[in-house]
Amino acid sequence: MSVLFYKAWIETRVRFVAGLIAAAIVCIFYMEQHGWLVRMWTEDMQNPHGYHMKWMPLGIHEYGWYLWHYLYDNYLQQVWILSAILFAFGGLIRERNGGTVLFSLGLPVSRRRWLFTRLAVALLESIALSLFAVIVVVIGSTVIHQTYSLSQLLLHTALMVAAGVFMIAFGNLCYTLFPGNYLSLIVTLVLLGAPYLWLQTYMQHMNALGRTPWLGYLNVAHAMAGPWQLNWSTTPWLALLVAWALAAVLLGATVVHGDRLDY
Amino acid sequence: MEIALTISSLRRFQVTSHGSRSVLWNAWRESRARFFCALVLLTSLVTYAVLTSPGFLARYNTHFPDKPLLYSVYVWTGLFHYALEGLWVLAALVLALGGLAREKATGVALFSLALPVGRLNLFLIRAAMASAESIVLGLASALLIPALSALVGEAYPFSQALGFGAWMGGAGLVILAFGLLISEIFEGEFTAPVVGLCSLTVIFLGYRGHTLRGWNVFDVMSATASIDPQTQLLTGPFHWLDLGACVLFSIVLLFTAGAVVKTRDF
Repeated sequence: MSVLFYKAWIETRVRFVAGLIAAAIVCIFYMEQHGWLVRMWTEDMQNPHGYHMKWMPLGIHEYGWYLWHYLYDNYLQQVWILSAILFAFGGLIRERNGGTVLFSLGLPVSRRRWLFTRLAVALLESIALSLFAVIVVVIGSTVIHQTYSLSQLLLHTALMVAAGVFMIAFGNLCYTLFPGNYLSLIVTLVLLGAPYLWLQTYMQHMNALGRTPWLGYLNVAHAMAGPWQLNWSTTPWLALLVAWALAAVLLGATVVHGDRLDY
Repeated sequence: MEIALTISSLRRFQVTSHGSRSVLWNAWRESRARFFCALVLLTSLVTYAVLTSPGFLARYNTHFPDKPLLYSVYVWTGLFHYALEGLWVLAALVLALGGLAREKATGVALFSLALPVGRLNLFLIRAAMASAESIVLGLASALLIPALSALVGEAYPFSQALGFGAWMGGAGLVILAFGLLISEIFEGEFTAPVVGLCSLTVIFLGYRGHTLRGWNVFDVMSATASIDPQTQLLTGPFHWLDLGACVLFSIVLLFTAGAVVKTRDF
């Protein structure tokens, strides 16, 4: 079993290191920008002709909100999703394209075990990536002399990973169905991006009408971010359950497809 | 008879030409799924941005009645200078991937190299196909803006969309050339896209954070220096020197990639 884990790690370690670098870049960039942005917002608020947005006082006075908005609701989340998808790519399908799959299938290991080991490593790497981002934020915040709630940071990390398992399952299924030639990468982005944009349009339209449609529960990116102050009652439990259910369906489809595939 | 066929310069030219056409067809077959997917991605973004613009502009102009946002400003800041530009960069990078280095890793490079086409030609044909696809992506998504604007009761000049799309595709060739170079350096399936995305993100954020200053390929792509500050439409003179610098830099990157292809032991 440990050999299978090691093999999956060898296959994905370059992507993992690149994911760490990307997450560090995004976190450092937005912490470095904090002082400048707060100064700009403050000047705007003091200027009667400046921009006055509802969120500006929060952005100026709540560093925790700033971190949540720029990292967990936006850029770190996007980097994490892209990395998680890339971690989930590979496995037996990739070996089939390289012509080495029969060596792996010849081992006394079932196809399902190959798949689950591969996905377990992808999940562990995704968790490690999110925890690494926490470490970067802790060190960076100390450098720029800002205080925040570490428990909130860890709760947002946990929520991002918990809802984000859907992305791992989705990425793996896309790679299984559209392998090779980088098609899987762009197909995954299209299948995630296009419906997401349409969902946003629909949600904005329904919000303008004062309705809360059930399709909102399919907004996984929204569930991954959660509200900026996270506690037991504000955690989007229903959206989280929907994300898990969708991930289970996708995983089931991958298993069924993998079992029937003629290598 | 066979000797005559071999030494005939005309026949040799025909064989090479046919071989090049076959390689071009092969390059299209390999990349067409990526091209159509990228087209869907870009058109989805443009459709979303244009169809949601009336609501966004109404909300914005209610919030800031003394600083009304023009539709042309919304299009440039939201698409040509931000989301469309970003997604086009991503699409160009993905279209540039592949090539002999990747084929070497999968063990099929020798089949390509056995064709009666020079390895440099193989690379250049792939580069030409990726360039054509990237330019079509830029133009098609840009021209969709005036077409869809009419549906939401707005007007965006066709010539402006054509200008911004062509400028993005022309200056953005440097991104494509960078993608072609890294695809010929790294053999790993995801090493080239990951290295490319990380490098471009660092450069982009470096400029946004003012760590890097001065000439900026992303600003050249969105024709920042040639727009009117009020309407954000192309009114000023085109900065051909900036475009020339992008093309020159693209050629340098392509030469470097060509040198890598020529000297590599497959």
